[in-house]
Amino acid sequence: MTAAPTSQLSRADARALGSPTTLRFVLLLLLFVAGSAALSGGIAAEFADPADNTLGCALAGGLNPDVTFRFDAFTGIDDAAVRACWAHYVPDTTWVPIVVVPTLILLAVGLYLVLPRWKTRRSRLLAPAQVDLDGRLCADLDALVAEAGLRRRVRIGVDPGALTAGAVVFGTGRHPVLRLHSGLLVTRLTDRRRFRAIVLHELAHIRNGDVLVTYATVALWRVFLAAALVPSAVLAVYNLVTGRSPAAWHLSSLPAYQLIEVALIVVLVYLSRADILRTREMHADLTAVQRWDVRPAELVHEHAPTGRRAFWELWRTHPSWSLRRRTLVAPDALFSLNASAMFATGLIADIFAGQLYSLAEGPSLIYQALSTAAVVVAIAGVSLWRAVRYAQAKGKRPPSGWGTGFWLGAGLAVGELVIAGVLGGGWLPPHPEVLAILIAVVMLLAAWTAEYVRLPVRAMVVGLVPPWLALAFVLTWWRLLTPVEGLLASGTNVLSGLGVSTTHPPLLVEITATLVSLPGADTSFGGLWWAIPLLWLVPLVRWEPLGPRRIVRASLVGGLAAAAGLFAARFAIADAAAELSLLVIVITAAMLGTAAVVGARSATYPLLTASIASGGVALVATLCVSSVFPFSLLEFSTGYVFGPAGIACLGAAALAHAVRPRHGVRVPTTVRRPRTVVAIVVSVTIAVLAVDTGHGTAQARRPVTASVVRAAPEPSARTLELQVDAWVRFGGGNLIERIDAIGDTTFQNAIAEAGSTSDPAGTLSAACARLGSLTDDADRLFPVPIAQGRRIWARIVDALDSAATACGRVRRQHDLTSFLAADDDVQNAESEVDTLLGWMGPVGVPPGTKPVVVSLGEYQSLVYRGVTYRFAAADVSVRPDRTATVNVAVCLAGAPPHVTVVGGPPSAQSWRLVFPNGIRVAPAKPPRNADAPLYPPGNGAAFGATGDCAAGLVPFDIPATEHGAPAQVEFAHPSEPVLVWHVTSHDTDTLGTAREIPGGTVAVTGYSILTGRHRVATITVACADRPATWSLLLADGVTIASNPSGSHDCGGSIRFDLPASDRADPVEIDYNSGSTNLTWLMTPPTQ
Amino acid sequence: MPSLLDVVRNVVADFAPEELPLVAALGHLPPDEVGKRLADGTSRDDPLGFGMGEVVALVTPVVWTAVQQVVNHMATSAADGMGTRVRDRLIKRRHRKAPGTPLPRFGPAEYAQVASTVGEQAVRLGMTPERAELLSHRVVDELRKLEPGDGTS
Repeated sequence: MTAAPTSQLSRADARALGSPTTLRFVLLLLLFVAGSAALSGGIAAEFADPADNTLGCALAGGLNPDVTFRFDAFTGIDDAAVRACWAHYVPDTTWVPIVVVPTLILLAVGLYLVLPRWKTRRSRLLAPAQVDLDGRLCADLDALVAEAGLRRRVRIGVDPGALTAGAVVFGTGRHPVLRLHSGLLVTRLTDRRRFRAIVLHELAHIRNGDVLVTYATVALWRVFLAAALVPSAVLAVYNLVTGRSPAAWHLSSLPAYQLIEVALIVVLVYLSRADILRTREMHADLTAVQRWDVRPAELVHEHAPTGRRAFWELWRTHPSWSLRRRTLVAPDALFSLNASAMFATGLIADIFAGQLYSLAEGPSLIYQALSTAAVVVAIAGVSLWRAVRYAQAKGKRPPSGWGTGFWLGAGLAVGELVIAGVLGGGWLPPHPEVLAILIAVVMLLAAWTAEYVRLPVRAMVVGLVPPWLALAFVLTWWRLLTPVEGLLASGTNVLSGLGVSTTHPPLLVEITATLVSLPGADTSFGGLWWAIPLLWLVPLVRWEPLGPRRIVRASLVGGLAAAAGLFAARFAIADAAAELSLLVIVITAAMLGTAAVVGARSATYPLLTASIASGGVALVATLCVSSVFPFSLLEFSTGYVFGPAGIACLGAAALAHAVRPRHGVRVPTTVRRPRTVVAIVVSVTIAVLAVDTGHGTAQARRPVTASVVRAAPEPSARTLELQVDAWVRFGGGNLIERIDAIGDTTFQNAIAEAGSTSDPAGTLSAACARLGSLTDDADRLFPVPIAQGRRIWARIVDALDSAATACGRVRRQHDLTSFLAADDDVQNAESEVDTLLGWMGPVGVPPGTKPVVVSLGEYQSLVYRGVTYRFAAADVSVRPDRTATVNVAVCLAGAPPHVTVVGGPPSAQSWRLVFPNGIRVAPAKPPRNADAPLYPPGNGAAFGATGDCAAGLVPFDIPATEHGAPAQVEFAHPSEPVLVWHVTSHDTDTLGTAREIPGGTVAVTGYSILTGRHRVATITVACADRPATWSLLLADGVTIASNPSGSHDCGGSIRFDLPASDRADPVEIDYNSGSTNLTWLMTPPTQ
Repeated sequence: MPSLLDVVRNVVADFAPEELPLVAALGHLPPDEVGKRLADGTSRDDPLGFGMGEVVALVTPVVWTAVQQVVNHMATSAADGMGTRVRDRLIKRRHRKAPGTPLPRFGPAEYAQVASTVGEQAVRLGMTPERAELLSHRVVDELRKLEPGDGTS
């Protein structure tokens, strides 16, 4: 029978021929578990943090959402401060996966146990005895179970409603149930052999352990679907429709990617499960045929229907009858390398890795890479192993592994695209071409495995360890630096560390700096770079077929050539900074050359021979030059030479092998095994690696590695707004309030109290204590998002620091005058805060907002991040001393329940006075102890509830160049106006305008200027019912007080004596009653 | 009075005795469920099942469904005079009865209908027209035994 080779193989190497389908089931189960943990965590986070403080903290810390991809977005972010912010503002949901996953697993276990009962009840199973009309059915079934030699007791039932001649097994691994269709009872009487074949096929499923994995997957899948995938998809659709959470991110593609990921998981799981089950069916057929002498024709009728369309076949859990028939004749299908299965494996493994990654970043990276690589290599490795062994047994050409590697790598690459989208948004990462590296590495490792399997080795596991660790090595690097999102290894830090000019560094030095972006920069044990040497050390165990002499010769020649080159170069190039790249370049070049030559000359094992030879080159060269180059440099080059260079050598060998001349190459097949050479090479390598690794571990990760920096992308104006707003909301606003409160209230009250108390030092010390941790908190806060702001903040921290020092003197030495110094420092800090707020502009306004121009006194609304504010500029008063005040008010008009309004009213520094010629004037520093209420109120008032208002005067100094009246009042961002009030002649105080003052009105109804020997101006006023000072402002800035002889009565006139020396015309009439300042503009005087 | 199950069992015993275990199995199902199961007799793509497409040409479902159809039709006609809801409940109750429920009395029209349905179904299943006709006669004969005066076996 044709199954003979298989059974021989099974006996020879049973493990090698074990089906990898169990591993693929395990991968699905891992995906379910990791996926439910990640998805439930994501859902919990969305509900626990509806205002998206997670994002807010990240923005405050410098996150730049303009950049679509994660690493660029997080470049330069203040990690410690962000974590502290999350700890404070974001409810902790890390416990959710910890609770949810075990719960889901328990539910799945429950479902797994309940499903068989439910199936039994639904199909109203009958005991065979109930339909055993001839009294022999039960005996027949017992005999078949005994023949199958099953260790488990099998419960058998008859499904009365199923008329097909089939059967099914279900249940649990320990309690399987064989359900016979009632149609099969007819077959038993008409075709006993067929009946026996079908029952034995089902018993083969039980024997092969299919029941446990199949129904465990079913149970876990249903729970995963209902509890994680569906809610996650619903949430993504909701976000997609409402545009909710990603609004601040500009990441419109994020929920779409989440949906794609969910859909992909569903489709992949269905297809993979179906594919695995189809394989299991063929195995069950084979088991029945090989073990219990079932004839293939009894299992699959000659007239059995042929297959459906290939596409629909993919979704079926059973292979087509024609494939089953073919497999029973020659089980090629069971040993072939299925491209779609490899692709699905790569994709599922990568999505699994992505779920792991979203669960925990950082230190667990290496474990994530190890687990992902373990599943990928186990599945692909076992498949390759089986395919090669089967081909060898059948005398066919064994597979090269390139195709397997390609499809596996392509799966991983597509997975990376999805993960990049889910984690970072955007439809395509900036550098998708880098995915080729991932595919190439997997292809090389698969080809290496295929070659290794061709060696006469028995233990499969040993051969899978090097590719496993090598893939983990590459994946760790990949995850750490995510080259697909754009890797800019600016070597600036390295260069400056080496004391080299960073502007035009020599090429070699630049290469040195660039090396840090490659895998292998981390030469600690955790860097996994030592996995690559395993690729050439492990095959040494069986290297007779590889041609040991040729390898040793090539290693020596290449190694000595590299050493000679390095000696020569060391004397030729004196630049210390170039030495590292020199070492790496020369040794790598020798390795690549040797690998290419050796690979081209080996007909059967190009990768293995090239790998060993290039490793030998690295070893020989390193040993030779160890006395000349500093040890630290050699050690640092180790990671590159033995790591990525080792992988590159596989590529060089493969390339050279592909283009080699196809004649005259003979590989010696029987060579004496040079045990001594092997022993020496292995021991020396291990010694070198041990020394390096030990040293590397001690140093952990070296500073050069840490200096891989990315060019921080410049945030847009919009992002700056978001960042500033987040900075204010998540800490900045609170600190500013604290500074204001101490400066305006605490210290002033303390000074006032100190005069009347018996223990002034105690009172002042108590006030000082309020400074408390303010300095530290200010120092620990996120950097201010604007560069100028950071400088101002540094001055604030300095001022607070100085205040704290002065306060220290108050406490320790009872030096009361120091308190005044502390007060000055705090006032300075307050003043700097005002400057800072001026830089920051309003609370945040969408860019490009067109200002609405209204007249003074009207409120204007401004909606920002869901919070509505109402702003008004009530009036403008210009005083004779060339100062002006604008009476303003800001009210909180409303915020949705989930939005927290943090901080007080917008800074006074956001107001501008605009003169007709376009000159904008920023507010002046508010006078201390001003009589009139200044804006914003200095008592640290915060907007708490809708309707809260802040009102007061914003002071301005009028530039000497400006003679006319202000034309506009603006509430402005540093760069653009947002709200504009138009100062019309009617609204301001042109002549005739009556103004309300406490207790009455006042108006200037007219004026006249008499010129002659004495210039006299007379204004006619109405209803000035209290003593007040009237003055005239001349166009050249000179202020003229009124002649005290003038009448101040209602309806009277006031006279001004204009100095004869000054020919300037009066432009303003000012009124000052002590509490009210009013200004009237004078139209050109009537002569 | 014999029931539908008796009629089917007698016909099958005579015509396809290997199907008797199948009839015995169906006898354990409620009649309305038998109808449903027989109607969608195709196999499903169950995981770890033997596979799809193994539909066997059986006499039992042909006889059962043909007679059941006519009985249902008679019940519907009888209940036509009643309100729809009452009729539906009556028909449902009738279907819920045990498999041994006696059959109603058939008239010439019903015999003809049973014969034609059985004949058509059997031919569709792959029987030769002669054998299909033989089967339909056998079913009608079995049903005729229910007529008074004709005696029951």
